[in-house]
Amino acid sequence: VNTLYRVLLRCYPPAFRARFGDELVGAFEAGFRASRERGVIPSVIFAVTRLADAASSEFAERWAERSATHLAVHPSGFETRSARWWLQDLRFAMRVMRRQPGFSVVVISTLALGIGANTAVFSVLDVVLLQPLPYANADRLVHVETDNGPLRISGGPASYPDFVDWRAADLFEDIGIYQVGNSVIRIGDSSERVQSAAASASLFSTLGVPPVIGRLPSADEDRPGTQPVVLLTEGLWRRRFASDPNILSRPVPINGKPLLVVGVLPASFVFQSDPEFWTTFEDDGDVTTRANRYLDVIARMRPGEPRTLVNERLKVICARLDQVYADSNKDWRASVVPWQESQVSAARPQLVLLAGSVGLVLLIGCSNVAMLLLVRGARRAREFAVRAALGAGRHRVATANGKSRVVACRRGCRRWTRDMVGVLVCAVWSARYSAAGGDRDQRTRAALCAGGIVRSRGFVRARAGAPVVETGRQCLAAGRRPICDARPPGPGPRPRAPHRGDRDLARADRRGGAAGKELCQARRRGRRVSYRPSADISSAAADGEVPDWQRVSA
Amino acid sequence: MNRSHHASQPLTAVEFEILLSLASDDLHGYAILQEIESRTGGRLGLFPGTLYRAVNRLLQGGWVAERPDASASQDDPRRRVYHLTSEGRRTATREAERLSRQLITAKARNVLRKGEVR
Repeated sequence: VNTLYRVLLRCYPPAFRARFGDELVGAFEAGFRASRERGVIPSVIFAVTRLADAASSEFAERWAERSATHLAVHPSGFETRSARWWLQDLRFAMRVMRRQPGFSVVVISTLALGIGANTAVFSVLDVVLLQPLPYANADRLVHVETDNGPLRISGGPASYPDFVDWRAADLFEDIGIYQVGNSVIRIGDSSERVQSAAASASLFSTLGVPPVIGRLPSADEDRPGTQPVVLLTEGLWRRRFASDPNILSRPVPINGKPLLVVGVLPASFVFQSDPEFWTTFEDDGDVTTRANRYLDVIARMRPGEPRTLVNERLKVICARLDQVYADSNKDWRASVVPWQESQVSAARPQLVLLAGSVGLVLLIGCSNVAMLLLVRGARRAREFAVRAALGAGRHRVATANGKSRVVACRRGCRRWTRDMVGVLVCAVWSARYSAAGGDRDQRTRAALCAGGIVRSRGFVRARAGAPVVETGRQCLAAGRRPICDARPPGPGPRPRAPHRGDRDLARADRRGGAAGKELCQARRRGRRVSYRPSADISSAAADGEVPDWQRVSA
Repeated sequence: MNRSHHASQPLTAVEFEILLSLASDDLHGYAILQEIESRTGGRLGLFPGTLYRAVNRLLQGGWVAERPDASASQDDPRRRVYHLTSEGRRTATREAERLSRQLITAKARNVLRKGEVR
């Protein structure tokens, strides 16, 4: 808590912190010691109230300092002027938006469409590809797939007898087998065809799913050949059995056979195809046949065990089974892949393609907005001219019209670059772990980290801000040659745009300064020279003096 | 905040309490907190952030000054001891008189309940 308080003090204005920082820490520590002697709750209350006080005082002190600065006028005059300019620019931007509602609506809706589509698609991408599956130790869950080279089968299902042999080999911390299908369940007088699944009891311990009420099937009940038992899902139990707690040990007719309900699985347990209930395997002749490979196997690896090692051991076991059961296991091998990978591998290309597409939509939207801004910038040349004619310097014109956007864009681009570097680092990190077959959790964290960075505001802002660079340049260019449209009425050549230096020169010329006159003549002859008064020309003119001029470039 | 600007405004409750605490003895910040808490019976719960902001204003106003010798803060070298300046004492007196006048007016207009102020 003391450290947190010290960190919080860093938000105070530097002068205040230097003057009272140590005392504040001392007072806090003494008070906290005293409150701890009174008990835990008083100390917690003390800490929370003092931290809140520090935070609010910091804000108040900064506000007071800012107000005092503005009242007293900053010595350089810059901060006050800058703040005033910002307010002016903000008001001006609001006025422009109000006066051009069509333009504002088009720009905002274009960007909103692109950013919204990207956010929506990335949200899906995040949930499907990046978020871990909602099971305990999801990073260690693997799908055991079978392959047969001569038959050109890869990523295939397994048979129950093979599963029993793998389980007996003690390769995994836990291993389960399942098959999703349909069943007819009779409740009361009505029958209903619902999604169901048959699974070994070990599947639920593999996934870390305890029942809400009742129990998981016992080892005896789990053996094919015995009477299957049923696990209802909480949804079905609540919807069709009115949350009846006496449902346990009651037979429920499923596919015409009364099966005993032994437990109810929690509503938080989700599985592919959303089965309404689960049964243990029934020995229908297919299950116990080794050549019938139609079941899916999920296993949980031991902590820290690399996937490559598990695959090597599986290969040895499969080779042995190949020798023992040559008629059914000839050339059949097994390997493990992360379960999440096996679930989403089909959707990955489509999702990535979709993300790329909406990224392009945003890019197109940004380019459209850039074009609109360019056109508007060109139309505002007259306004820039008026501003410059009224005495606004190049910097002021740029600030009012383009600098803020350019600065925002530069910041956005900087952040974007940083984010991209972050994403690349995370990608490399993820790929390293992936290649090594290492910790799945680390990779998930890396991927999520990358996702978090991508979703940061800078990522979006850089894209939204990038097109306005050109507008900023337009403004800067207009600031240099401000009154190109301010031509006098009537025929004749368009006068060259005088700039601030010319006005000063003209003033010097009127006052009879020889140097000023000479320089004016040089300019009128079209010689590209620039001069600058050695002193402030306004004060010099007010004193009735003719300032000295310095040639600054040829 | 300069002195003239501040002097034209009445003291805040916290500032006045600090001046009252320092009127009898020179104290460091934490001691001021404890003194105010015990004197007001905990009614004025003052936190360090608020206290030191007020002390800063009083220092800038010249009503409170830091005592150069820190003999009273031997237990913690970070602590600084503050004392009331003559200007601060005059200001506290003026503030007390102002409050007293307000109290008399409040009494005269039956704003106060009986027995609330002796």
